[in-house]
Amino acid sequence: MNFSTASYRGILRFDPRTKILFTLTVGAFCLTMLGGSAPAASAVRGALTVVSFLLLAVSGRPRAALVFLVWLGVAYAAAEWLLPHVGGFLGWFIYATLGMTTQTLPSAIASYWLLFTTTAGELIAALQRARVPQAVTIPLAVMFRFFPTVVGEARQINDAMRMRGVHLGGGKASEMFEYRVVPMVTNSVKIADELSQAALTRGLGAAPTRTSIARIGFGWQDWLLAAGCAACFAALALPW
Amino acid sequence: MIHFDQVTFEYAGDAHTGVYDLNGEIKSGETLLLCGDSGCGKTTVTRLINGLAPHYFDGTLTGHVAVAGLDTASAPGGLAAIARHVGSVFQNPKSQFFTLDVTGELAFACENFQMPPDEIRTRIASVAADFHMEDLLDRPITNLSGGQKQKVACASVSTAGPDVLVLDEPSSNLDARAIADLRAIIALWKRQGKTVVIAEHRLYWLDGLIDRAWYLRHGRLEREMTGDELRGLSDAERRELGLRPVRAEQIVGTVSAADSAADSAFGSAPETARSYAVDHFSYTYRRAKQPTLDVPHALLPAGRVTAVTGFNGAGKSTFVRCLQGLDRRCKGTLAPPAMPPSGAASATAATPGTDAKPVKPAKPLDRKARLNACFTVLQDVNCELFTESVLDEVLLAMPERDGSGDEPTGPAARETKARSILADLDLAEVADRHPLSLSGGQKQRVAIAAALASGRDIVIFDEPTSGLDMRHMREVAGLLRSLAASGRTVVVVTHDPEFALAAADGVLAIDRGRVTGSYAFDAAGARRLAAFLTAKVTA
Amino acid sequence: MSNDKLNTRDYIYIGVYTVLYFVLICVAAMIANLIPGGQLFMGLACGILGGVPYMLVLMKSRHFGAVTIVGVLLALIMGVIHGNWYTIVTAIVAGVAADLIARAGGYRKLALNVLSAGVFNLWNLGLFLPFYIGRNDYLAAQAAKKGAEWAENMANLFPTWMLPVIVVMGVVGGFAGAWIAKVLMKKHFQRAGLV
Repeated sequence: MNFSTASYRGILRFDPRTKILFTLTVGAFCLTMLGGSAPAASAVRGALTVVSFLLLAVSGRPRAALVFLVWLGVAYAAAEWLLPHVGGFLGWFIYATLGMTTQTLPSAIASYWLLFTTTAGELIAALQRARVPQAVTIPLAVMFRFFPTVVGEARQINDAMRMRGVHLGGGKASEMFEYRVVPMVTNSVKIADELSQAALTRGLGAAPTRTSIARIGFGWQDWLLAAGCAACFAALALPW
Repeated sequence: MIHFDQVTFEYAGDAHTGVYDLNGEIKSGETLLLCGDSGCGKTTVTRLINGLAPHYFDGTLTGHVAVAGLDTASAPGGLAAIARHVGSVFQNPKSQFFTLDVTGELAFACENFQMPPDEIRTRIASVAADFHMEDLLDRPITNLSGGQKQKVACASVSTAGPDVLVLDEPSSNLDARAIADLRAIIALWKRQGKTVVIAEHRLYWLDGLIDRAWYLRHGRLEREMTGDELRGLSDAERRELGLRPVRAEQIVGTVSAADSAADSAFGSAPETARSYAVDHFSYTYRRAKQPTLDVPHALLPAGRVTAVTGFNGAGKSTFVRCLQGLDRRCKGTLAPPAMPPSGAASATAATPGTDAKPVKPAKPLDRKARLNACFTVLQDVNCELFTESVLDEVLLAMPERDGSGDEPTGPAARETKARSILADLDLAEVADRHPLSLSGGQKQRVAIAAALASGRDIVIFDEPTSGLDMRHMREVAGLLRSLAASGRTVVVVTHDPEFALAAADGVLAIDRGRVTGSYAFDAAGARRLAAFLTAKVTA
Repeated sequence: MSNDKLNTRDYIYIGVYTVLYFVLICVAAMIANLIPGGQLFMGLACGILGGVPYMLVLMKSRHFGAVTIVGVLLALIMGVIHGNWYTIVTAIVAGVAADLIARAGGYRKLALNVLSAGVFNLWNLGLFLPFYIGRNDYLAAQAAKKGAEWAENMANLFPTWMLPVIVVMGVVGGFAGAWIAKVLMKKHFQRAGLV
């Protein structure tokens, strides 16, 4: 959950809604195995995986794309040469691990691309344009903003505990949980209260919709990618 | 612009003081100061103007508050309608931004008011130019300093163009540089003809900006002064009202007079033999070439209060984290003094003069040893209150075994000891209460009680006086002094010159990660510090 | 402020509590993943650690919608952004169902609140469903090269009988979390005046 803080300004600039559509398409075929073992589905899966790698690579994350590629390659190599020779519990364990890896990785790449080329502001703006109500967009915006804060608070609490010589594993599990959660909740409630005052006095909730300065909108790239996603689903319907 | 007509507001809970029988008018273009003790009702007045009372805080309101012709209680649209006319800046820079980047934050209010994107962009550009903050645009807010965040908060209310600006203790968490920026912003608003209402404890930085001041006590408007009358208050009168210095030059005068006893006891440079010696402290961020903090040698006089001062980002907090031994990346050692503190009765101290056989060999403390030799009272004291009662909090910090081995360490003895610490800190009556239900000052004293219970020789305070009025600031200063009197070495991080002069015996000034000065508060030292910490405002 | 339905302040609090929930279930997932096969217990661990923020959401507003919103947020973050359709469905269904259960008791009946926490915790089933439902024929074929009996067992990544076990553990985890939350509420948060 780490959104980009600067908006992506390269050539392949997509609207966040298109990126979501693409991620959902990859997920449908590669993660939830839509189409089962139909040859068309396997072809679509391969194509979507390749496109995910390319998008990530050309969007300024070639190193990440390479890491994912090696990871996926190792998984398939293990499936080809290791899996047929191991039995018993270990065999099942390798089988399950490989299955989860190969199923999860393509959509993980797509969602990584989505997160690293989209700012929180752009995503919120896109959801607002898609008529998602403020009951969802406001808490979502608060979440993006609050993540770094809660991490900072947790660090301070940890410092305070170390000073008192209360270490992880140095006490009862229930106390370890309690001593961390109680100050975290207290501080979060305090911040939520102050944040609410600041937001309300700046007109949040004044109208059912907001405008946004995030530059989003559909271009030729978006239509191309959306058409590609549509083609994937259409391929399933075709009699092969 | 703002009218109060027989206004009384009482909160639904009994947590805060309300405001009673307030009558008055704030004219368009006027800058009004709200002053008085904590809990005098000045924050409530700001809430009445921006509509948080009664729209956010439940309570009963009688009388009428009108802002720009709107009755705040009955305006259709409630808070949102008032928000178009009134911009609010709050105390805590950490909790008042809503987005992740500066540009988005400046746009936030305008987006809520459904302004067209192009107009918002124009407004952002012009406000950024006015505020000299073009370099901050597009930067992530979490990486900014407290002062920069407060500047962003001011700019983000400015973009929507309200006529009235309400600031509730905006300088509490800021250093001198950021306060100078804030002063420039208020001067700008004044030039633009805005109506500005400021509730504040620290007053020297507003010198020359205030048109009128309301002095409140127990929720009532007790005295109205013009800016000149406020400026002309005699020191005695000002102290009677419990107000902090209203002009920068008053800071040195008041404090060194109140605290002249410390001067004679302490020379102008720390004595090596009676000081903890900091050696080769350094801290380098991951992937950074140069260390952020580099202190080859520094002295912290034992049994004294040393103020660590400097601007935000100077490395003060890194320094005390190193001292406490909290971070693995911190290098360096701390050597205990060869001789005990002069004149102080420390438990581990030998009689002065018997330098041949010190009780403890002066072995330098490495990072892990310091973790158990120092105790930090954090700025955000809520982060170190864990248990269900004040007594438990103190017991948690008390070591299982006493170092001396003489005293009985059974549960009963521990409790007796804890209760006596609480009694010393005026916390005996709240020993069984939940720490989180206490007032801010009480919570801070609970943390101090834990520090005392830990039995450690060095107590560190990180910004203990954010947002305190004169009386509370002096109380905290007194507590620090009494800790030192009991033989403990106190190190306090602060950028509040009034507090540093009231509480500390000497100063360790840090700038850009290097020690730039180490001197005691004799008359010259006090002037030097006050000049350093208020320089930007008086210039 | 008017208290007849959720308002902007409630939305902000829901966002803050959901972050706490999210951080705690991430901790739970990390702990579960330390032990081999621990993923089986992930739902249980998430329920136990996530109980406190869940109950705070429930008790802060006491109006229909708060829990549903948390469900939708989880559907967005764990489902939409990661392309997992099952999570989108389970998170929304669990959120609405848990909200309805708690509403039946006016958000004040302990038993119903605890039950609601148990049901809500089932949202994370969606995270695992792809590995129970999806048939990975290529891998199954590879594994089957080892022996004939494998082909039978390995149609799905995990044996199907595990699914009810996970469901039961998820509900139990939710109950445990709600119980812990109740203890901490009484011991800390109520005395501190937070709820």
